[in-house]
Amino acid sequence: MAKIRLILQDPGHPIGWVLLAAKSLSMAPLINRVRQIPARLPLRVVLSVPFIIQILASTGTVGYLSYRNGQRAVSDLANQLMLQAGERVSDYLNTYLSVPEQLNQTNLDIIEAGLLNVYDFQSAGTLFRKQFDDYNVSYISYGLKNGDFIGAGYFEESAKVVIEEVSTKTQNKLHVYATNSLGNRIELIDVSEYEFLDEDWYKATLEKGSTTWSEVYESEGWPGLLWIANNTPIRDQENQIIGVLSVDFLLSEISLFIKDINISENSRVFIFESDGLLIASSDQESPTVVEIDQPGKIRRRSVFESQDLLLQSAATYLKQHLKDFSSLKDAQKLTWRYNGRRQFILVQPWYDKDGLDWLVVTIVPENDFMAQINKNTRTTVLLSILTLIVATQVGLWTARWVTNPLRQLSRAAKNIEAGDLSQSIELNRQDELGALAQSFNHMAVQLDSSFRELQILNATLEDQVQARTLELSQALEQLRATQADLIESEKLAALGQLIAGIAHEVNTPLGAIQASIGNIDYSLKQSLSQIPEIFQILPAERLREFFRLVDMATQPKPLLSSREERQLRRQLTQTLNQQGIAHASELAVTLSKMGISEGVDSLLDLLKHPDILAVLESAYSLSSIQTNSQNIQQAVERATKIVFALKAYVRQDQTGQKVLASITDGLDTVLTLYHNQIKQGIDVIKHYAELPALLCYPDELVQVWANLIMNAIQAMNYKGTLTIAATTKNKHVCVEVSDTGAGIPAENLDKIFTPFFTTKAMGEGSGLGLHIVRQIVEKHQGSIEVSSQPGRTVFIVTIPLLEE
Amino acid sequence: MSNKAILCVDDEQIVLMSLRDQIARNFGDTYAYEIASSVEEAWEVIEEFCEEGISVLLIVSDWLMPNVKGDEFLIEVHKRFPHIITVMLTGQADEAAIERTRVEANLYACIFKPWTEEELVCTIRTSLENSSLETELSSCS
Repeated sequence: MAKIRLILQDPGHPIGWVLLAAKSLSMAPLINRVRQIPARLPLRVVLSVPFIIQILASTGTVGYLSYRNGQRAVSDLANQLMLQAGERVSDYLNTYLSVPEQLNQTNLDIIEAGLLNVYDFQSAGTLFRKQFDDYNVSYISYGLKNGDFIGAGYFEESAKVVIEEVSTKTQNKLHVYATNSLGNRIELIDVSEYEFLDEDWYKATLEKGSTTWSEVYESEGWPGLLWIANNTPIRDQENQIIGVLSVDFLLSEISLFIKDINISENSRVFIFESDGLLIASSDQESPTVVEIDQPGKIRRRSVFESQDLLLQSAATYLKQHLKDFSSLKDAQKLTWRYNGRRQFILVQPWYDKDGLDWLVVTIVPENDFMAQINKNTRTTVLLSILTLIVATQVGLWTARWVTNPLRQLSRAAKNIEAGDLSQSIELNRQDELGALAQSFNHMAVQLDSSFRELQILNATLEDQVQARTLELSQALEQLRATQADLIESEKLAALGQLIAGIAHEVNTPLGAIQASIGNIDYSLKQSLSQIPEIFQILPAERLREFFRLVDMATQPKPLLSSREERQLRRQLTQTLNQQGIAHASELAVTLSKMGISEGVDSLLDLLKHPDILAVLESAYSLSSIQTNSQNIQQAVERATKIVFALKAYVRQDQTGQKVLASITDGLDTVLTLYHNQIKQGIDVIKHYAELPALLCYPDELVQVWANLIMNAIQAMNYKGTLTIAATTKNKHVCVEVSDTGAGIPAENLDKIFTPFFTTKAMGEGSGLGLHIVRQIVEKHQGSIEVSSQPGRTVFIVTIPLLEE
Repeated sequence: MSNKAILCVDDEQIVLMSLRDQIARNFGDTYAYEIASSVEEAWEVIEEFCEEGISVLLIVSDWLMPNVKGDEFLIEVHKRFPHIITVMLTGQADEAAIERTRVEANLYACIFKPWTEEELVCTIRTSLENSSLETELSSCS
């Protein structure tokens, strides 16, 4: 699997190349995702799935977009058609409903022009009968204030066309005359009472004083038909209303018109009044209904009662949406769902100047148009599936084409891995995979021969390895010896440094001893020759004083410093001068050298002796024998101490075993050895805690302390404060050596332990000191740390206190 | 008392005392002998001598001492009192320091510890003789 991942990432590899090519075809995001898929999927899937996904995505997108476009086109088309239909209905209504008004206007014009006397009912009847034939109306009439009436039109619920008259001539009864086609009255067929002055058409028009429409009305004799009347007042010369002209007009023809408006298979057009009562509908539903409980009696149909459920649903939706139909001022396009299918709906108000207020509603089911679109979509889906199948096949075939040789390769590689090197792949191809197979075969052959060579080489190699190992171990041995030599030479270098200081330390007491011996020798000779003379010149009393003086001088007492001696000398000079003693200053010099600070008073007589200078000289000779002896003793002590410390430093641990030793003794040894370097200007502060003896290599640790302390001294240039602390902490001994020198630059801090690193001049330091220090500390399972800043550098050595 | 003095400077009291005895024994009352255990004290002594009208002829100084070392001291002495003869007595030879003193303080001799009485006395004597000869010559001329 790792191999596959490598191949996928390798643009030089055929498969990597295929993927790269795919990537260049703007499939980068997809490729990235493919790369993220853990390389667990079979190569065949990895190769074919992207093809399939791509095709699926593109066909799906195309299908979806065409479907959406279709939908939008349908919506646009439906809206356009609905608007056209609405306009046609509006135009039609305008034209159709202008007929009764025009007829009324014509008749008014005739009357006003004096062509017709309103009281000439004979002429009026004939005119109206004629007009009935010319105009498509139901009834033409007028009524006068005096109750007279003339009209022509259909007679009640029959197809007979009659002239009806109420006048004094008819004894104020309604006479109904049958007519012929010429408009002449033929015979009286009916007589009845007729009072119209209180009727709505007359009264409302009178009150309004202008043209009015009557309510839409139905007639029991003509179920399914609706009428409306246009009424207009008749005025005399004085503009007084003398009567009302009226034309009754059948509305059912509107239904016939809108039935022909065929937008689509299931479209609907219907017209209703703002109170919801149906005027006309395209499916020619009867605008009237028979009362259920009163057979024979009819009333108008409301749109909500429509038998056409689509229409009823549309009305209900509109009612919900618009709340009040009469408030609608402009056309509105809406959609709603009926039985789960989208329906487009256009509702337009239609009104005229005389007060008609209707609504024209057009419904188009989306499905009427979508049928073709859906058919197209189905075709698209089918084509997509077909494409998908083909693409999958092609993808799988491609994958197999690519992976089969790879599988062959993989199998062969596994066999080689298992040790069977005689692998060959038969692949008759000229492409990259063919080249790969060829390379593989070539490689297998090479591998086979290499393996054979290796086997042969292996045999000789073992011998070589053995020889080399021997050489290496010898070299290591040499290196170890060199390292030991280096350590030893470093130790010797430190020793050389020490010896220079120690020379002074030892030579000083030696010089003192040598001088003292000479002094004693001289003094003794001097005394031996002078004493007999003293005995002669001094009387017994002075002789006693002489010996007391010698006794006082040889009493054990602390050595006077040169400064104290000078002070004593001045004091004595003064005292002797006060006593009037001759040679006071000379005497004071000798007395102060002898350290006679008290009891001079008791010696005054002796000091006044005329030969006192010679006498005192003898006394000084005697006492100097002792002081010089003391000097020798002190000098020897000093030398012994140094020699002892030196012995401790260079002690060779012959056993190579750890021994119990005191850490602080080691530190003190080094301090003693470096005494002359330290005494010049370094204050040593020691903080030693109670430490148990440590199991260690004492001489090596002394070398550590010597290195650290010498470095500190040199870092301070022989002036400053050297602080040495030895403590125990958590079963560890902790030794801190700190100095007040200039410090180690930060960039050198991590280099100081590396071998041959030194900041000292050529020949002054080997650069091995601190390296060896660390080696020794590590040999004790300890650690060494350093921290440095100007004015304070601290080396901390921590060594575990091991149980014995 | 003599008005000419020899001064010894060393931080070791035992060295100082034995030195003084050796020198005093060989030169007797000719000179006053003074000792100082540090450079600071030596300067005090020199100043006291100046006040008392005693002139220091020769200074024998140790090299390795706390604070101020012998070479620095002798160089300073030579600057202020060019006639004083300087002799170094040292247990540890620092060639550079000796060479510097030789050049800058006209060091007469350097005696190494442990020294012999003969060596010391001879050095002092010849140096003083040369010096007095020079003084005489200069006074003659």
